[in-house]
Amino acid sequence: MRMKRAIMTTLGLFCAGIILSSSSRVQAQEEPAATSASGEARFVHSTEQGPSQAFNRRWDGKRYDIGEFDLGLHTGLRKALLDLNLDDLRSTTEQGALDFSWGSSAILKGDFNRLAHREDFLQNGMVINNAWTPSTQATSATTFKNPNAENIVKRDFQEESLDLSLPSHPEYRLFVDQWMQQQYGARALTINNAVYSQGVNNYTREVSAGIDADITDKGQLYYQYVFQKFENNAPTVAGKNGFWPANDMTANKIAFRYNPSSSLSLAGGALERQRYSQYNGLTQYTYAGNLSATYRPTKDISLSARLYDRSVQNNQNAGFLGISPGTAIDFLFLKGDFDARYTGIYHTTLHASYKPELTQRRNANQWAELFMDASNIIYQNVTIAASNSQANAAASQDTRHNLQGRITLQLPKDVELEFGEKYLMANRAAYENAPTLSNEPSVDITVPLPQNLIWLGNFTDSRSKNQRSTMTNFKSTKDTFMTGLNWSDAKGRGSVGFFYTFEEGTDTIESWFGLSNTAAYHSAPNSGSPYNVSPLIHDPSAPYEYKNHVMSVSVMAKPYQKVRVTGDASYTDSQGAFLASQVFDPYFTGTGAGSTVQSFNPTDLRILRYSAHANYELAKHVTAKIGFRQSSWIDRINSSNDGRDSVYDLGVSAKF
Amino acid sequence: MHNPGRRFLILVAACLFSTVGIARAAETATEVGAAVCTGCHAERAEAFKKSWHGRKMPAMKNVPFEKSCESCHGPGSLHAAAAGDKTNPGFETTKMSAANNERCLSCHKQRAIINWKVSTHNQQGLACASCHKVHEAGENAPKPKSDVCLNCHKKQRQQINLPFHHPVGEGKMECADCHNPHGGDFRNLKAESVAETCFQCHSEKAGPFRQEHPPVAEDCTICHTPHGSINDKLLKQSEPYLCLSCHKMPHADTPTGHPLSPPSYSMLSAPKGSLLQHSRCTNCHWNIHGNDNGSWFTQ
Repeated sequence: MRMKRAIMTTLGLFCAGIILSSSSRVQAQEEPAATSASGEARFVHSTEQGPSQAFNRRWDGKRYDIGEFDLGLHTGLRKALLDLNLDDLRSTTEQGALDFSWGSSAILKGDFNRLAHREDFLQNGMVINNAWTPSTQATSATTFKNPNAENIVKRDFQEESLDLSLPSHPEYRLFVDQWMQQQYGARALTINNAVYSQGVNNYTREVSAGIDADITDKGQLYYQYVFQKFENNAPTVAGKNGFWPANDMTANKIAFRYNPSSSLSLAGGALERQRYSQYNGLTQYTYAGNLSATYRPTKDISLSARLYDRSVQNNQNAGFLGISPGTAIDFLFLKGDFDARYTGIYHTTLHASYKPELTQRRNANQWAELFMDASNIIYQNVTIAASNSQANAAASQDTRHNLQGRITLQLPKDVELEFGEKYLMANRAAYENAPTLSNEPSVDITVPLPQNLIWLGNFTDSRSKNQRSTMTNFKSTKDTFMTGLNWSDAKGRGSVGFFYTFEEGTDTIESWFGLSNTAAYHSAPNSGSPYNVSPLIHDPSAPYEYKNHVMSVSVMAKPYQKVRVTGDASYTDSQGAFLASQVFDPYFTGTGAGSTVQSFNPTDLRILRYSAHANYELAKHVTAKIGFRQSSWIDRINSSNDGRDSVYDLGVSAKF
Repeated sequence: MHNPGRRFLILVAACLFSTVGIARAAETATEVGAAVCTGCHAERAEAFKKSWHGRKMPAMKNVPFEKSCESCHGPGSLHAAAAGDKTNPGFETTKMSAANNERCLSCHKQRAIINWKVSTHNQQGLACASCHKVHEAGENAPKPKSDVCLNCHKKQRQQINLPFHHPVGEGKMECADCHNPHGGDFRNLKAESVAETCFQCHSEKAGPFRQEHPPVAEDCTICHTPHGSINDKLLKQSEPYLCLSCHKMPHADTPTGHPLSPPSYSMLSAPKGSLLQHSRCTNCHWNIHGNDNGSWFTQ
């Protein structure tokens, strides 16, 4: 159904192109048209191994043994030009593009593409007493092995734009754009301990129109009106109503640029946006504006200043918000961005910037959790959280100062060395997990080596913390090391690129497990007396640690005139863990009594992807193609996620 | 071996010579026509004729092929006279460097590039030709793919290889779907904020909702890292850690359970199996971006 609609749209655009083309034929003197057409046919075969393909094919639709096609047509007369591309026909990721122009008076563009996104349930669990203990929720219906039980959301995107201008007044242009996204299929969803395959069926359509004008040779101004509609037609899940309710959005936007001289440039704009929920009657207003100026007195100096504001206001006097426990937060965000660059002797470049930010939030304090202000609480480690001593409300006002400096040195033998520093200082954090202080020095080096080799390296050290926290005292450290090596043949017959990154970080929070606003007691075994809330756990420094290794290689070779071979491979090793040491409920007599939890939802993944493609020119315009790609997902914690996916394709393309 | 003073003198001399040469070039360069260009660049000229630019220029701008080379590269007489000698100052006069971006901008006035002159990329001295390959692009518009961006943005090159990511590496999305490399209204984004950029495709999370999760309207990157993550849903940390960085875990082991939840969902008073299923907060608080029915994003 959707496919037909997409094809009809494409054909509609095509017909519009033909009509306009015919009309141009009457007016334009016919001249020999430069016409070319291309086509490609491929046979695609795939195999799967392992218990799940949910992650190897997260962004791949079903692709079994099928023939796929690409078609292209490029033609035109004197003023009318038509480009039509239809790619991956018959696959689950079909796409098409149309580009028609008639002189510069009418430009019609259309795009269609389909994306398949697998959203299966990812099993969660804990490491308890050193053993991975998965959730019992996942069932065969939630993993991708049975093609009939997979959860795939397909997204169809369509975009069309039409620009019109009079030949006598090309400085004024009218434009109409449409953008549409349809989502349909199914995705996994967990509601209160049960996993559902939830139907997805919604669309977003955005239509905009406006006028764009050149203001002399130095400036440009445009106005745009936007209407967007989101509508959800999916059935509710487990009797829940109002899932993803429909909303409308309208916006008015103006933007301009003006260059009073060759060294001074100005640009800016203003926007008013209104979102309306058709379900609850609430309206949200956004007002944003920006103004930028760049001044380049010489080719070596560049100064710029940018001012930006955005405010969001919620209309709470409509619909049924009156019964809401809190009032929505309104906020005003102001930002400045002042930047200076200077290139001096030996191409030494200095760059400095200062970005102040101010955010004000109305009603922020109404969103602190209700149980934060409970009576004194005693935790297992005898930490006492006094009543009203902690809050996680968003800051009513915060000011951030971002400073950045960078110096690039050109050393002998074309070696380039760069030192950078980013520094943040804030009076308070917007949210508990945001920093008030952050420091990020970095160093980059690029070294040209003999035989067209280039080596590059980077090291970045990042540290940040929330110094004004009253609850979680968030801290974060991250070190990143990157290195790469590139080689390319001077005659363009081959190239090799290698890239490796290692990233290691630790985030730390003061975690508070378990809290109730009523004092609760347990009977300790054999004690015969009430025991104060024993399982309330406080960890003064709970770390989340992660390590990522990413390696990638790409190769291109033209060993013979008619042969081109490309290949690439990547290997990712990702580990992450919430290093907990928490004894749950030593006095509870149920199944989990006394268990020690070491980590929640840890990650230890190896992902290997590689592909190779070869083209051989059979004749002047005919090329044979062969390709292979394979991806392997190895989950060292939960092997039920493991899988290997191999795709082979064989095709021939022709150009006329 | 290495004499900085001598190197400096050579550099100064070269700069002076170059400046004189270019000034002279600007004075005397004249148009020679594409026929002269094709004498050396025949293969490139043939490719150009079939290219998007090569077809659009005569049809849309009335620029015949004979004038097309110099309409972008400028008058070529000195370049031609240099005859391939790269040390000749005239050789560089047709180079499409950042200083010559104006030649592109004289035709290209799309709304998407209205902020180009105040953009970061322009300030960094990028030439249009640094990203757009005009001659080699074939019949279609020379829109750069994400690979072009990732050549410089290496941190993002690493991130798109992490286990969970937007499908940039798979070729289903481009960097330019969210970013405007020519300069956006807010930083380099296509919308006026991070949240509005995300809502373009994730419209269902835009609201307004009766129950709002405050970070959603403000900035999605408070919880998500859009280029790639080790965690499902592109979360910055795994659950429940991410949630605990702002919240207390309220599911106490009490006889009555959490006061706001049914007793059977109390994390620690429930059987072990139920406890395990609650190790991800969104298993119950699944509508975490905002909802209209009930409290705490559970419906």
